[in-house]
Amino acid sequence: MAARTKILVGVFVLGGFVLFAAGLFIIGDRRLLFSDSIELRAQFANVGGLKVGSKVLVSGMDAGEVLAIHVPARPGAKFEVRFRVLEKFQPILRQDSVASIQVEGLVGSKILQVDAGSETGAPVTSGALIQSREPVEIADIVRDTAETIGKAAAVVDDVEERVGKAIDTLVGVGEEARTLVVQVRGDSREILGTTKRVVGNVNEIVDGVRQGRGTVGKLLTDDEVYGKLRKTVDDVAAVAGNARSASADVKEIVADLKSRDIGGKVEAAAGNVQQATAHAKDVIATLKPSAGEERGLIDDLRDTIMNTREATSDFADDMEALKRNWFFRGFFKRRGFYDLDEVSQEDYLSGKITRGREPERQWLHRSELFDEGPEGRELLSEKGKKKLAIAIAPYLKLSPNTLLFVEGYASGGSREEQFLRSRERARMIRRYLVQRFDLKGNYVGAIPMDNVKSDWEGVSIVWFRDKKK
Amino acid sequence: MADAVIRFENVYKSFGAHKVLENVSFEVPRGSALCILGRSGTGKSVTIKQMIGLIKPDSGHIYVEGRDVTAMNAAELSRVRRRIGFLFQYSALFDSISVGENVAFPLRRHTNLEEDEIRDVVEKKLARVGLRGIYDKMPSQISGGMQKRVGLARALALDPPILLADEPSSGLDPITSQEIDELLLDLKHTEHTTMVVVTHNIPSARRIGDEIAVLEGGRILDRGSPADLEQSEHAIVREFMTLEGGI
Amino acid sequence: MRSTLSSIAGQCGDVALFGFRILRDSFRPPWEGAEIAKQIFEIGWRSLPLIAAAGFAVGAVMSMHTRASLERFGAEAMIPAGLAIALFKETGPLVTGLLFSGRVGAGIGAELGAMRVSEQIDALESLAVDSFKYLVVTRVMACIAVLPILTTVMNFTGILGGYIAETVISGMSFALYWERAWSFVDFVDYVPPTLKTCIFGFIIGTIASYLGYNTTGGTAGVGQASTRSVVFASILVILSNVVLVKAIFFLFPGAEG
Ligand SMILES: Nc1ncnc2c1ncn2[C@@H]1O[C@H](COP(=O)(O)OP(=O)(O)O)[C@@H](O)[C@H]1O
Ligand SMILES: [Mg+2]
Repeated sequence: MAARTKILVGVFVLGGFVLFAAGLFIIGDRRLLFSDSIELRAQFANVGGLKVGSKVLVSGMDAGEVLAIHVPARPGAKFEVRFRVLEKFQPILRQDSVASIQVEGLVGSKILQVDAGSETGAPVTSGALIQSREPVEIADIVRDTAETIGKAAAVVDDVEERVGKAIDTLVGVGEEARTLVVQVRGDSREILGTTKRVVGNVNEIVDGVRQGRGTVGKLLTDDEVYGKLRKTVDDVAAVAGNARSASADVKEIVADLKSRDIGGKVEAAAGNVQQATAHAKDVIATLKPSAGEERGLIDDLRDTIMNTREATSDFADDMEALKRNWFFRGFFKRRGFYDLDEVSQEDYLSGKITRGREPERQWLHRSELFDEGPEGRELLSEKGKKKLAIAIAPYLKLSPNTLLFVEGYASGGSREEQFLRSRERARMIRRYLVQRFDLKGNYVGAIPMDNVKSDWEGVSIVWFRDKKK
Repeated sequence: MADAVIRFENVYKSFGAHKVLENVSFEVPRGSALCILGRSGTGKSVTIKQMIGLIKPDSGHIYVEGRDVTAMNAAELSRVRRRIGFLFQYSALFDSISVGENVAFPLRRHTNLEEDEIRDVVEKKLARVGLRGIYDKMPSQISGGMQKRVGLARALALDPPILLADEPSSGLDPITSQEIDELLLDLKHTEHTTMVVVTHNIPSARRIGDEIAVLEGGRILDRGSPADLEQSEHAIVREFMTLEGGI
Repeated sequence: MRSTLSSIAGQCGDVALFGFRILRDSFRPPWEGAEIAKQIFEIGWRSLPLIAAAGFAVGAVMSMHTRASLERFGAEAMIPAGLAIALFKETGPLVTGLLFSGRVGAGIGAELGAMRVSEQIDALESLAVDSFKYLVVTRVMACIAVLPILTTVMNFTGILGGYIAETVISGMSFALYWERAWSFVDFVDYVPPTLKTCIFGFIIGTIASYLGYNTTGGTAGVGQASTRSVVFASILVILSNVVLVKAIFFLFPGAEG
């Protein structure tokens, strides 16, 4: 064999071996096999998918690997995770360093994250047991959120009750007062509407999270949420951290609610109403109405109502904030029909929301629905309620998730008048239907159709049955 | 008989249903040359391949220098083969190495000669078969006749006491053919090489062969000196012996 | 039908015995070191261009495909790691095995076949050389030695090809790419799959040698030995791979993750 061939064979075999060994060293280096390290322990009730060989990070830096996971001998005891950390990290580790199990990247494997210890903590030696924090589950966040929302709902219920009581008191007054009260009632209805909607929103958030099963998996399969998460969280490894901060957000909201003493405020407001109405009763009872005093009474009432409204709108703001929280935002937006009552006519007509589902429609004329109220306002009549009940009956048999729209129509008058009236009609009927038949608010929309068809006075109730699979 | 270098004893060989050799017996005394004559396909190649164990007989025994080849293990066979030079009918040169390396091959494997000594021996062997200056040629670059001579040089590389040659002069021009005959005779006379030569060529068989065996229909039809065979009781043998050229 | 089955079974038995003989003889002197080196040169060194080019192309193509699927999840950062894992664990060894079956299987089948029909194997025997050891064992040993090396070459050129494809699209730096490529690779993803190609080498070498060494039927037989070597060696590589993957999972539980 020629000398050249021999050399090439040598190059080939040696080169191949070196290349292969290079791979070994690269991997070994990454797994920090070839450096001095100390061994530490941490205990977990739930190891959350951590495996032998999983990476260990100290304050986010590659520091070692999990060596062994000991299964406890008894049901109540904890798993013991033994892991290796490079010696150079020893100075920043303390016995109060906290180990936690986290996800590397979004779909990555589980890692053990160890925080640096406190300045005053006792130093660690090989074999030391350090603190641990159980893995954070999105389910926990949801539980927290649900708790918060429960509290919020209680507050809102309270408000409702008190305002209702106040109104009941008002209802008992004399003729002049009644006119006044009708006015007041309109406003308080609106207040109640707002609070109800707030409660509805909150419930939908919770329902939504629950339906999404509230697991990381579900959230991650949700493209939109995923995109949002990714945008928000540049370093994917921080997802778990962010999830924690999301739960902190929720807690903060609760704390905030508490600190603002909404309940107290509402109570005060309701007290004011009661006081005011009592005052009114007095006024009427003593039959000493004078223009000045009466005006004073009305002002007083108005103030009271303003107060109540403010209080509830603060609360609504809080709930909006929760809804807008980055963590939930995408999740709900993606569902598209979140708050169908906020859907614009344009979106509705584009078919984006109904996605080709066939409409089933009931036309209802103004004359069948409304009585003439004061100041030309339309009020839903008893007859109208019956008509609506008949019209909605087929819908109620369908899945509660069937999309329902109340289209409002109006003719005559200026364009603006048409718009306002059609919107008012649609909203009024929607509100009534949602309350009366306990519909899911986020599946029922109200759309002014003023510029679509101007030869109809009234509403049309349309639902979009899900396509058969 | 006592000094029979090669001895066939009731050898039978068939390939499937095709009976090639049926009860073949003969022997070759030391220092003598046996020529095997026969038509194509009568089993001449099969016969001499059996002598080095390339083909095993179905039954019967083949003794080389008194030892039964058919009962040998690999090591014993290898020892026997080192004492036998074998020229294949179609040369069977290793086509991936040069002509010179073909001849050097047995030297490299079975001797401890230095590189220059090997080269020396190879050139000598090539010269002996009438070839010069083709050490570095590849087998595919030389003619069939030259290949056959290289094959002979390779068979003789270890100076074997026994030479088996399968049609050494077929396909060669008459002059070269004659030179090969001279070479074989020279080997027999100077080195007392025992030979078995398969051939079609009656005149060269007459010249080389101390004995001639005629193989026909799976049997040795007749065996004896050229002169004996001219008087053979078999008409076909007598006919062979009168042929001037090849069969 | 019966006779075909039994003849297939007989052939399998023959091949198995042939394989055993190779294993047995590889532990017995003489060790044909020079011949093994020569074969390593022929089937290893000379396969380098093919393997390197194929590795490069495979890496580039895989990178593009990985991109297409990971892009959907916005996980482009995972492309190098995904490519490296897939390449090291499965694609590298298997593609190398198959390419090797093609090039070397055909080569050995044809070469030994030609040597058989031109009586070169008989000639070797006549020169008191153990042709089985000299021709077959050396080739199989060379196959066993060479395949892990070629696989490693395939792995690395694949990573390189992936890098080119990646940097053309995203302009990623080599340092970052390299860092990410290795980020998920563990020993079990690298060592057992690379070393399992020794078994591929044994299979390819054995099949091709068997068919070549036992060629009959002249020149036509040589062609047949060559094509059959490729076909059977490829099929057996693929089939044995299934078993080997499972075996690796069994022996190295960490490999499954
Ligand atoms: N390996 C083999 N397998 C089957 N048949 C063979 C084999 N070798 C030789 N034969 C057959 O044996 C017979 C004798 O062949 P051979 O000895 O080569 O003839 P020749 O006398 O021309 O040298 C021929 O018919 C040939 O077909
Ligand atoms: Mg012949």
